Amino acid sequence: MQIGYFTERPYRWLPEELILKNRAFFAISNRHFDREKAADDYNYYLDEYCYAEDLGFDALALNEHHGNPICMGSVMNVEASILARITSKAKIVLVGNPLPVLKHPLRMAEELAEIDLISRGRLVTGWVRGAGSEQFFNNANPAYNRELFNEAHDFIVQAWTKPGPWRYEGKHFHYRHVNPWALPYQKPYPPMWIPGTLSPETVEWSAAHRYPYIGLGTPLPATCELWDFYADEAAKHGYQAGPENFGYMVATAVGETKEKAQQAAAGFVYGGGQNAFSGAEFMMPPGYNSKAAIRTLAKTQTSAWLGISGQKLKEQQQGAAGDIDYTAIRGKLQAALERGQQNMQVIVGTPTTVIPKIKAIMSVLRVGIFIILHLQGPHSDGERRTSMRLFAEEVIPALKDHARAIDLADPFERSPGSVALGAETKRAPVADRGPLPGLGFH
Amino acid sequence: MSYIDVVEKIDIPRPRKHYTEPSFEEVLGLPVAYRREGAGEATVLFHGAGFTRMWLPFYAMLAEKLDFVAPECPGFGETPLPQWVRGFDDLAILYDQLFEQLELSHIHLIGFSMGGWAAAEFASFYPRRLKSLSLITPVGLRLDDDPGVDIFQLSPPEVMDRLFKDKDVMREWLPDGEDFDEGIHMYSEFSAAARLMWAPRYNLKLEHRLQRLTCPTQVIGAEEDRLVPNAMSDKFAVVLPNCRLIRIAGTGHEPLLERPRELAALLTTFIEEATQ
Repeated sequence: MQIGYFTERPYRWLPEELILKNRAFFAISNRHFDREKAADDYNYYLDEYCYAEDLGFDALALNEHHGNPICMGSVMNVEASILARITSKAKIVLVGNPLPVLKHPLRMAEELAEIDLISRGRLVTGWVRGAGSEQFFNNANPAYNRELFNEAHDFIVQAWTKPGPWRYEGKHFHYRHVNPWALPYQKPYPPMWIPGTLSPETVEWSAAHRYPYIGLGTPLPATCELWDFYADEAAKHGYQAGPENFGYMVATAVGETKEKAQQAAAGFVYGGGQNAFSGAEFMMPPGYNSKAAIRTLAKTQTSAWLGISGQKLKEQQQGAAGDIDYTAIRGKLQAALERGQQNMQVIVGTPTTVIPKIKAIMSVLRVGIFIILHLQGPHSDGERRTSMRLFAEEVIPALKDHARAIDLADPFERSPGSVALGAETKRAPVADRGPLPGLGFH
Repeated sequence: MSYIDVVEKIDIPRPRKHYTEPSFEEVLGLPVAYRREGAGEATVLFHGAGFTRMWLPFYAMLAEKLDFVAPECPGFGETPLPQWVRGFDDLAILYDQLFEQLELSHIHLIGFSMGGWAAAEFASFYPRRLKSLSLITPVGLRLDDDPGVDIFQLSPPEVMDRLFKDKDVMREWLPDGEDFDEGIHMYSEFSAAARLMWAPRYNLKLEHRLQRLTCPTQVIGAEEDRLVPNAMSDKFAVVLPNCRLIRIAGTGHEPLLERPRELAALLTTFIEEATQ
């Protein structure tokens, strides 16, 4: 079982009304950017990842977003490079580099190889398509998002494995001299974990490549369906999917008391939280989603963590209007936080109450990778460290025991895709829906 | 080329009003939907990024005096979007082939909004096919001062609001908000538009290429266009040779729906003059 630590590295100094007024974090003017505060935060978060390693987290997960104060990881490879040098044991997990918006896969191959070399093989790399807003920020044509993703990925794998120099002539990328001197430390190349919300195309792609898929706080019943879909695809490719193919990330806040835990969790809806990642108009630029994906999204009302929901879709179609009533909004956000706790998309409590919840998630989803999305919003260093420490010291050991008890192998214990499945053999279940009714899902 | 190559094979919903069955012409393996009626000078219109699948009242007005042809752009209406359509140059070649097959050797070309860009591109590649060129609230050139709003950053209701000056007309043409299939179809048409217009939002080469035109040209702007700055039609009028600029008073970006009679009269008169 790999237990990972992840934070969005929020910029902690924005007044909430500014975010609410903008209805989103994306597109808040950078005139509100304070270099001294940002310099402090960047350094603090690097220290915090070191602390996470000291506390015993197996993996340190980073992500990247552009033009968005909800996440200061604008160029995640910079942070990963530093962590490669200042940490010593933990895996450095990138969830992930937004390939379609970065436009230079050869440079990406070089950067990641250097990170893997400096860390002596601790890099786990991952890829994403970039949020809708990032297609705007980087002026990347969303209509070619999937093509760019696939081509950049395929090119990077080749750049890492095919001795150079050689020439590459693709659809979107063209290189006349591919021969990167820096090649990954890990052979043939670093493991890749693919984070996602609900897009069936990404699940299908991950299964075809035998890459573990990490559900980002997706609702449990929908996640079970997604696991089944992955496992069916895996069977088509001749292998039995198992815990080594699945990961889950969920917002988590731990406190010494119930009240303190709730205070720590409040940041998950600060300014609207992840649901306010970007405005509806930036969420689904044309071409970014297939028709099939849009239908799936519309059916799932509560896929909260990347802010995509039936409600948002409706807003996208109808437009949001009216004056801002901050008190009403805060009330709604608080209610959303409580709902999130009820449906287990936000895990909040003392170590004693958090343990059974996460164990239940592990039992249902049977994941080999579990990553906490740690505190959002303007919490102090001290609050953040307390929650981390409580989780690491009291929760992690219980989760590790549970993983052993129910045989959750992680991708380093059992290589994803290594369990062969005959063409005539029925695949084994990958999720256990048994506990769902007891958890309030009907 | 087969349907395998088509980006997304789609079930296309039919608008409640003004829907007519299109004809199809197989062009370079692609079944291009088009509607054609009337007799007179052969005239083709390239539509904007919406209001497809319909025989608009405005089209009927043009067909009263002209042999009027309205093809549907790949990814719009009922014309599928093949992988190989990735830019306006691909459209120009597709339309040239379509006209060849429909025996439309010399035409009057009208382009509206996005279709204005497509028409300008076609004209720059095949100037000798044109008897006249009319661009209605077109896009496609770069404006140095104010580029205007980014249509891809607007929600569908904002687009509607900016399209129309006359909100009564707007309400008449609003798609059914509860019709999810129609919403998805609109998203898919905008996806096709993104392939053509996401980046860059202009073609810097057009200014140079359009000098080749020898036919009469006109640009019809709207006085209260809140989607595309008036500077765009001003600039087209400067760039296009032999060009007259008309600005329709009291209308927004969508004169086809707001002022069909006035616009049709302007066009038919211009085409008559260009023919003599």
